Amino acid sequence: MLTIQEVYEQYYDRLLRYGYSIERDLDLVHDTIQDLFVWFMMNPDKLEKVQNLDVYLLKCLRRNLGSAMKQMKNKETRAALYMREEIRKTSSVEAHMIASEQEQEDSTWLQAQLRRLSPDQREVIFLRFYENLSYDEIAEIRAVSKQVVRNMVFRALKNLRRIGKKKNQQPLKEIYGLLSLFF
Amino acid sequence: MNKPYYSYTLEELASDPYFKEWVLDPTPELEQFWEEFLQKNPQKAPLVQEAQMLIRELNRYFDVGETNPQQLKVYFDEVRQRADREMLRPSKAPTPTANLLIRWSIAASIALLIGIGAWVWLASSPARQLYATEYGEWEEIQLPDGSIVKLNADSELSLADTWEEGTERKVWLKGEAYFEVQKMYETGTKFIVVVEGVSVEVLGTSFNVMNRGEKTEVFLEEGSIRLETAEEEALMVPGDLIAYSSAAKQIVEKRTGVKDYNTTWKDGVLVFKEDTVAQIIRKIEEIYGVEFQIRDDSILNSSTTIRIPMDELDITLPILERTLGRNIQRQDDLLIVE
Repeated sequence: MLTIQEVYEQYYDRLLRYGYSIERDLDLVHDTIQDLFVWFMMNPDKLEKVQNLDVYLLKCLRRNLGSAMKQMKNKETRAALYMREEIRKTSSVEAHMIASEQEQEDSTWLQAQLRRLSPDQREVIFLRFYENLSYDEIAEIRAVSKQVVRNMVFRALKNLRRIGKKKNQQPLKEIYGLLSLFF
Repeated sequence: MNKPYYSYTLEELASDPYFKEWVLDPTPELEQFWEEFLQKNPQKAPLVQEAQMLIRELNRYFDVGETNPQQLKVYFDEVRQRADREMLRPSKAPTPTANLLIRWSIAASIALLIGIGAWVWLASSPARQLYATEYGEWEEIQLPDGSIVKLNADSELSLADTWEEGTERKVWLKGEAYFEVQKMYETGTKFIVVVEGVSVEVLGTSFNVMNRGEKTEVFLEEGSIRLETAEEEALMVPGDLIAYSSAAKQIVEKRTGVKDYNTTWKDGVLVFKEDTVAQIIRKIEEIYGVEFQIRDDSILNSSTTIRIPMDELDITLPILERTLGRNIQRQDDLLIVE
């Protein structure tokens, strides 16, 4: 049995990342995590009964973040945050200069596509490919059916794959040459 | 999963832990495995590349860095402290029944206090929230404006009704408390502590107010405050100590540049530095609600340095015994120093 502090230390980064996939405002996500654990400290029995801690914590954060976002009514603040985020992202894309020009182009394209995904799609992509959760687990976190999750992942992947389609048309040799860069 | 890798879809590949590890954190074995796989299944190269790209880009997109363990400890401490404070605070949204109960108990306690007659000051302005400590107990309270009050043993603090921004912040104190007042930069609203016959007005500062018996002492540690009694008023600067007697209805002592005023209780430990045994014993009596009987008066004037806990009499007594070199007999609240 983990203490609340151990749970906190194990899950903080994961929760921060998950929250960040939903709302691109790290301060808000951090505050929401803090609130959540203050609540756990005051209601320690809640964590004791939990079967799947991963799913439970992600689910709690998701719910609380939803209400925290609702509370942030000030649209100007939201707009300012969004701007700041865009600037940050652009510069971080620039910072990560990758050897291959083609790859860099693809990378920028993918980053842009990720930003263009609907928040729901981005979130399921995160849960499926970053957190490696199963459809069952994602369905539970999002409180929807498994099929709905499947469809969301499918659509999101479709949006992220246009570049892949383009690639498939290129001669295999060239791709192979590119691949060797990774090894 | 027993499905062979060559029949994997993009989705399956990108969520395969073994594949992900190769992309993000490769080992020689993984390198070898996937290189062989590609040699055997060259038609899979585009898919592999796509999955690699996807994993890498997702990782970049969702990256928030790693929080270092020290930072995590600090964050968690904050959680712990906030939880402690929340638990001290009466529930914010009480249920109707609970609300009624609180109202009744407040009404009852106010009635009782008025009945006693010693609490005229409280009746002059009804206060809703009441915090009280017993002997051997101390509490840290966060006020609605963010100010912190540390309430010493056997003390009471009540809060004004409204704490809306721009309104005067007001608390009533009996006993001893240490205040760290949040400065209101925008509205500049005052913070007022009312003690028997004295009101202390602040903008944002740290100070100690002690009211035991007929004597009230205000010690200013940081910032500046204005002290007001019915007849007098005084501006205090850090290091100032003012004592007021409610019996004489006047300021009875004014000292400046006080460096050794004992506010260590606010951190849970009482530290005495070269204080006389008489002073130490009086403080212990105040905090634990006990009474000392000293067989040998000659020890009272010797001075000593000692640290004792605020809430553990069982630990305090052995420490005291050792320091004084005397045995202490305990009969309930009576402590006999042999």
